[in-house]
Amino acid sequence: MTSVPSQHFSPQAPALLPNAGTPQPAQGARAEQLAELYAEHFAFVWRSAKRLGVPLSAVDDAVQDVFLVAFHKLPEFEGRSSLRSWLFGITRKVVRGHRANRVSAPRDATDPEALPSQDAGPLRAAEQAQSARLLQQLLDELEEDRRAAFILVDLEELSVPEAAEVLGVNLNTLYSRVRAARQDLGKSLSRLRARSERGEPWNR
Amino acid sequence: MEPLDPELQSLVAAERREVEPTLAERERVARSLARRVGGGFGAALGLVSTKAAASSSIGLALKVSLVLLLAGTAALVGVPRLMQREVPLAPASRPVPPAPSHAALPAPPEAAPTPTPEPSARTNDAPSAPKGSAATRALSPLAEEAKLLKQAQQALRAGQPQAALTALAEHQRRFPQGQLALERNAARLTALCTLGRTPRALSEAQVFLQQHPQSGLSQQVRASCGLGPENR
Repeated sequence: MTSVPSQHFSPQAPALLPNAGTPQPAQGARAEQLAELYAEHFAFVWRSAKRLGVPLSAVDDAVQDVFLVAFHKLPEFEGRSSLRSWLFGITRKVVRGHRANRVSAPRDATDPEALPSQDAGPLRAAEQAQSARLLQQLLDELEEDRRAAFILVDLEELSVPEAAEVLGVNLNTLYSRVRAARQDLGKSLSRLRARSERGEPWNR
Repeated sequence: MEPLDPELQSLVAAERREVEPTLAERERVARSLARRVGGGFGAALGLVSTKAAASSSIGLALKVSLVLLLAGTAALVGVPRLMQREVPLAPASRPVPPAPSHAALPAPPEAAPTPTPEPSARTNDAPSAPKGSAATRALSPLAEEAKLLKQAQQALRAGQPQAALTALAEHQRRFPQGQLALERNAARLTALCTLGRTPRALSEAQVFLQQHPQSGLSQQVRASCGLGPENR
């Protein structure tokens, strides 16, 4: 996993909207802060958006939205949490918005993830992709808080205290969400396994 | 803690190798953001214009190779940030972990990524290919919000608070509960106080400061409306 330093931006970030007549540097400095944020956390935000349920064809848009929100909210960032926690919170909100949009818009038929699954061939890459897609399907069925906990602990491999900090919950709550998520996923997998043994496709 | 089902464990391992952004995706989003944000965002990441990139004889692959070479010699200083971060990013480049035990929750490993990229279905995306990219599709609602807010920003910097208010009113009309509503309210107060510190503007500003005492936006409102720290 990419290690993410624990440094915080200064709470005294440049003002979002400088007073009339204020010279350009505030805007430029904020753009540079965003660049720093982007360089450090792009991969984390991208993976998080994907794992929270954004289809591959829309991940770029979602990630862009996350950093746009971050750009506009930088002056609000108070440094009470880590930047990664802050960004994960923004990502969750943005993903909810994308989900809501997708409810009204039919899924793009050209989205590779919307195409019927191909049987796994001898190629390992294909098997790996199929496994990843299957896990995504299982994640889609998880309750949102459990899903976030599982993503951070089991996929991002954060420690429990780190994940608890990101989600703003105490350790017991985090443990309980991860445990519940694992149990839910195990049950779903057993169900799919049984379906597969009956000769039914595992994908919806 | 319940151990992971072995089959689930293998899915997790596969997913970790599969779900990773490519260099092309990183650059594509960065270019799109640079257009929206401006102000040196692209330059800070070491992005060059598409035209310049196209005419350059140094292709992306060469740049990445250079970065990997530099990374190997621990000499990343001076390399554009966008590229710097690609070293641990190479899709599916992590070593395949030997089926980790999930009997207990794992501690965060600091796995040293290997720089050898593994072929991926998305690896060959042309970084600057605009077709279907975020840059060329219709703006998302959030991007529309940001665009209106940016218009207001520019108007304020140009000393045109009335024009800023027009853009902000449009934002209010289209996105009353938008994700950037707080920023809109702060910008509106800045514009109102720039036009004249009327009792109404000052009263609204004081309410804003009471509701968001710690926000960086409050500093902006306080400065615009001539309200001192005692109004915290």
